[in-house]
Amino acid sequence: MSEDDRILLDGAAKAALARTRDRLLILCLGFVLAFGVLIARLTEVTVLREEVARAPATQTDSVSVARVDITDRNGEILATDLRGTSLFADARVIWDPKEAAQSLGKVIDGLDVKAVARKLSTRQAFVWIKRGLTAREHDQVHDLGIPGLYFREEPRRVYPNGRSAAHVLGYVNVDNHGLAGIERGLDEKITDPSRNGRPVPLSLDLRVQHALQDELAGAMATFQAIGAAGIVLNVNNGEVLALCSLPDFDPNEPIQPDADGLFNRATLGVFEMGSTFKTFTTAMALDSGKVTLSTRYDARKPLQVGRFTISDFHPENRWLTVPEIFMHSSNIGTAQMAVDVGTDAQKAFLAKMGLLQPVVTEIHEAGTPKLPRQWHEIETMTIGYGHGLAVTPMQVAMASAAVVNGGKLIHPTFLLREQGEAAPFTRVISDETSREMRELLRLVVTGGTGGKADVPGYPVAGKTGTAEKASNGGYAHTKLLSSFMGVFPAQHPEYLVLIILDEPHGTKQTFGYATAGWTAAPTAGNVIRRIAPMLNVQVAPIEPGPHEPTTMAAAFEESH
Amino acid sequence: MMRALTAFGIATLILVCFGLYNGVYLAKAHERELQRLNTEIAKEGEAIRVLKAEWSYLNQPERLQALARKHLALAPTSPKQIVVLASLPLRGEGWSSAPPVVDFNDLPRRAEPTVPVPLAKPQRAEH
Repeated sequence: MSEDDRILLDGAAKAALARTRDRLLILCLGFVLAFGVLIARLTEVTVLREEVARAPATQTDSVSVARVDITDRNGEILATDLRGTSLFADARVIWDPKEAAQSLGKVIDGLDVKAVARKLSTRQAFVWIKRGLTAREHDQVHDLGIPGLYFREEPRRVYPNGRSAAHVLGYVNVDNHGLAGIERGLDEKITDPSRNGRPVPLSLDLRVQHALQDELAGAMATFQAIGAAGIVLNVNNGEVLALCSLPDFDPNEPIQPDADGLFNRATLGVFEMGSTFKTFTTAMALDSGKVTLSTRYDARKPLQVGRFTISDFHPENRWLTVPEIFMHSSNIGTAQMAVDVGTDAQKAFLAKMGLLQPVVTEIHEAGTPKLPRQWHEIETMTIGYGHGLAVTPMQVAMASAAVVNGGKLIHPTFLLREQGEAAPFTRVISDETSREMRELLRLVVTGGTGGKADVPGYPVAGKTGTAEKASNGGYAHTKLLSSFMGVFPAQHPEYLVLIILDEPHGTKQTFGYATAGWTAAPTAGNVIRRIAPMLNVQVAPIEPGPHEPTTMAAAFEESH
Repeated sequence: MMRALTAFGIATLILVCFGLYNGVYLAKAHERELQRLNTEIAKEGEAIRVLKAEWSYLNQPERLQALARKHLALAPTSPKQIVVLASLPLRGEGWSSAPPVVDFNDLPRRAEPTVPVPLAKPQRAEH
């Protein structure tokens, strides 16, 4: 602006200027208002709002789910997530699918080159080449430098203890979803993001698990059995300390050509248990009040029922008292005991003991017991000594624990109980019957068929069972199922060990016998000898001999 | 008056600008640092997981058993080696007169191998 302009403005245009000034003022106010809003908003965003600055969005497009660790009761890791690298390709970018597939085949073990070439020819934006590369494969693929190949990091489940407790843990698929065992049963809990990485502790004890697995594998090899199963259970709170089924599998590589290893004999397999079942029949008879320890039964000759003949494996051919029937595992005597109690009472008792319906735990693999098609007097007799009703080893362990722990049926669990947490229970037999049963079971070991299960220092009480396996509508005399259910210490049992050997064969050392007393009983003894010190079971003063007089033994002597 | 206000306004503006930019740069730097630390924590966390898994893998009871059999003169604890406190004679009661509760020389069944007890604790491997 020049001097002339100011002079000009001083006249008629003054009013117009004043108007302009007013307009400018309004404009200014407008700006002030607008900036005021901006400032207010800025202050709110930066100062007032308490929001932690977040890192840029992480890759959330991972297909695999993150799972928390699974540990044993002492915090040893049984399953954990490690970061694995997976390889995928943008097939639109790949120049020569065939050549790319071939060079990949050279660096990745066991890659199906043809399938990969086909995938790469599809022109799709995303195709998986391989999930879970090893570190070496990762490097080598990287060095190939083929455009269109990409890596993606995703969690991969690793079981550092390999086959240990494989059947309890189960396994996951490539997307880290649980397919079996605890991984499936507790899938929701394990993948719950709100756990914040807090591991899930199981009731298992890795050391006990190993001892059980080691001894079972040894027994299976020695007796050339086709399978074996074992359970170690805390009888007072239902915690499963170890569970093993052989043959087993490696959860790190669950896909096997032979699916037999995946089958959980301990919770899914149903077996006719044989004489081990007499524990329940005897407990039922004593608890009913119809039978007492001094009741005698005629076992002079095999029992004829219709076209069936019930005979004894170790015939005594005389009248037997209840303790004698139990010690010598007399089928004749036990069958008569079952009949005295009656069919309906037997059904009710077995149902109460949880032997007629599946035992569902955190593991979904729970076998449904196989009940007889009809259940009359003859079935009452055979079921009395363990034939005609097939149950899972887990059911036997649960019911046996109730027989010895004072009559409390406790649902078994694979989860660690809180310190001092009382387990919910149902009373199934009286405390007094349970005490009598403990003494009877001890007699089997001190003077009956279970002698080889005893461990000096840790008195064992238990029952052997040798069942002939059903085949082609009858029973095969050479195909046996040998089992031993043992508890220790005998007076106040803390733990139960159940051993089952499927089709064991006799050896020179057992004089050709494959019966439970020669196969399953010593295996149980070996397991107890190893695990009792680990479990802090107090050593009992070592007894003078196997035939020390007890109150019960004295009663039995009188009957001679 | 107006001039002073303008000068003050300009000065404030410059100060605020500087402050704002400074703040933004600082915040960005902190954010980068935070991100770096978070990445590092995640990395360390992953390394810890790997090491834990490795530890667990190396401590497999099966592997330890094989190693112990090969290198150590130790055997599983036998009940004979464990004595309850109550069975020990009290001091002053006289060592000779107190009858042993457990007769270790007269054990029933099964001759078990005598376990050689190592004289000294195994030396700790140095790392």
